[in-house]
Amino acid sequence: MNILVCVKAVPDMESHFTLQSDSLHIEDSNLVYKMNSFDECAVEEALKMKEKNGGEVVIVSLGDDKTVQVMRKAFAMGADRGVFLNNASFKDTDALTVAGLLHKAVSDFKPDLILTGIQAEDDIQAQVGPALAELFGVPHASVVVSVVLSEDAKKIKVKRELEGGTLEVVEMSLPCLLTIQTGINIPRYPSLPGIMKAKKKEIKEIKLSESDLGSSKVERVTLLEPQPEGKVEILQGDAKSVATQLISKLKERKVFN
Amino acid sequence: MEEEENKMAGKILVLIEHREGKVLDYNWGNLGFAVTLANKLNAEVSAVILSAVILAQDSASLVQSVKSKKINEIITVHDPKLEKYSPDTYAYVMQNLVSQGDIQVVVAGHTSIGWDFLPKLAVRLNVGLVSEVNGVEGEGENLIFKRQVYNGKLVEKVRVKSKPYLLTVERGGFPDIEEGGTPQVSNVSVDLSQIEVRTKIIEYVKSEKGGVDLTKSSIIVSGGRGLGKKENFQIVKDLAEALGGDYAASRPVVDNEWVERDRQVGSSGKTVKPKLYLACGISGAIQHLSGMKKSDVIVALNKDPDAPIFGVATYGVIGDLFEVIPALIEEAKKQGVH
Repeated sequence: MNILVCVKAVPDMESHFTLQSDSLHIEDSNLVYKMNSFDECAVEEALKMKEKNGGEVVIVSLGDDKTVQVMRKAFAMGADRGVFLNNASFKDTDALTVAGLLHKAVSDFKPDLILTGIQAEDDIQAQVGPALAELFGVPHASVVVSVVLSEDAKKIKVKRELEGGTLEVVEMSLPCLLTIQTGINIPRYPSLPGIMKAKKKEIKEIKLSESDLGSSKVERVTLLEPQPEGKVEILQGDAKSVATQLISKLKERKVFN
Repeated sequence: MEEEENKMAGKILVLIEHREGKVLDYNWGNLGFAVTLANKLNAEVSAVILSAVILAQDSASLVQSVKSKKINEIITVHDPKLEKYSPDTYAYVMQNLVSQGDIQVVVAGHTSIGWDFLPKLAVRLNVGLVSEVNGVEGEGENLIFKRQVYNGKLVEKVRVKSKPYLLTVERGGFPDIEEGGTPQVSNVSVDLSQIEVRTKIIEYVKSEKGGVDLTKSSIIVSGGRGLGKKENFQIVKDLAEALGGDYAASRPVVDNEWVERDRQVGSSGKTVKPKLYLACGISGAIQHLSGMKKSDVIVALNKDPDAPIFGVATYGVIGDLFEVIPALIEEAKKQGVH
C-alpha cells in the first residue's frame, strides 16, 4: 500500500505576528516553524497503515528552506522519502495552484491513498485536499476522524465529522484521498534511531521558477491586524487583585443567580 | 435607458445544505451574505435545493422552509442520486447550473459540504475559490473579500481574478436572511445518468453521549492547550466546581484525550450560550469562537495578549493561569458565589 502525504511547514500559532512593510506578508525571520498539526496526524495515520499493510509513505511539500526540517521530521517518524517543491514565493500562490503543482510533481507516483491535513493552520482554507482529489481523478472524504481498511485492501470506510458532533460513515474504493482531522490519533514522537535514519532518507528537490508558479486567481490585497471590537475590559493587577475584581464584576452582572 | 440601468446582472447561486430532510440553520446566514453581495453586484439571489425524487415530500418541505425568504428564486434539481450529499453529484450539478446561465457567484457554507465539493468545482471551472469569507467590500468588479488567517490572529483581504466567484461563508459570519419574500420556484433538470457516486454514505452517527448537556449549562469553565498537560486540567474542573458550573474544553484538549469528547465546545462540538463562559488558556480559533461567542459574559484568561479570544471577551486577564485560577477559586469561595 503506497501512501502519499502532503505536509506544510507553518509558524507556531502561539507566536506574535508582525507585518512586513508591504502589508502582504508576516515578518518571519524570528518565527519557529513546525509541521502543520493536521498534517502531522495525516503522517501518523499513513504510518499506522504502512505498519499493517506494508508499502511506502512518500511526503510531498511545497515551501521554502523551512520545509526541509519538517520533511525530516516526517522521516524521523517513519516516512520513507520526500519530494520537495522549492520556491520562496510560494506564499503568494493560491490553493488551487498549489494543488496543481503538487499533483504535477508526483504524477509518476500512483498512490493507493493520498492523505492531507484538513487545512493549514496559517491559511485556513481547506482547499488543497479536495482539489488534489479532483486532479488525481479519485474520490475523497474530508474531515476524517477514523479509517478502516477492508481486508482485501480495496475499500475504505471512514468517519467524517459534520457540524455539531454528528459523524458521517462513508465508504469508497481505493485509490482515494482523505483530509485528516486532528484527534484521529496522537502523533508519535520521533525515536532517536528514527532521527538518525531520517538524515539519510532521500529528498527529491524540484526548484520551481516564478513561471512554474503561474498566476494565481485569488490574490491577497492586504494583511492586517483584526479591528478590536473594543468591548473587552482588561483587568490589571496581580493574580489576587484580578481575582477579586473579576468575581465582584461577575456578581454585579448576576451570572451566579 | 432606465430599463438598462435596472437590468439585473446575473445570478448568485446559493447552495442550500440539508440533511435528513432538514435545512441546516447556517444556511440563513449564507443567504443573508448573498443578499449583501447581490446589492453590490446588482444580481439576483437564487437558492439551489438538490434532492431525490423519491423524497418528494421531504423536498417539498425543504422548498417550504426557503420559500418565505427575501430572495428572487428557488432552483430545484431532483434525482435519485441526490438523496444524500456526495461531492461527485454536487460538483456536477453546480457545474451544470453555472453553464446554463449568467452566474456571477456560487456560495456555500464553510462546512462539511461546502468546503468538501467547492474545491472540486473550482478545479473544473478553472476559477478561484475564497474560503470562509466573513466580509465583503467594494462594488461591482472591484469586490474585496475578507477572511481570517493565522489561526484568527490576522485578517486578509483578497481579490479574485476569475469568474464566477466561488465562496464559502464563515458560519455565523453574517446576519440571517430576512423573511417576507416570494421567490419563484423553478425545477431544472440535470442528467446524472453518467455520474457515478463514488462515495457512499452508510449512516450518520452521533458522537458518543456523555453525562453532561453543556447546552443547558449556565456557567461553563473551559480549558485549552495553554494548560500544557493533562494533569493541569484539574484546576479547570476545580474552578468550574467553585463557580457552580460545568467544565468544557477546546478541540486540542479533547484530541489529546485530556477530557471526554462530549465536553468539546466549537463548530465540530457543542454550541453553547451560557450566562458565563470562562476560557482558560484557549487562543480562540474560529472553530472554537463559533461555538461560544454568543455567551452573555465571556472571560478570557490567557498569557498571549494577541490571542483572538480577547476579541470576543467581555473581561480579559493577561497572565499565568496557574496563578490566576487558584486565586479565582479562593476568591469565589470567599465571596460565596453559590
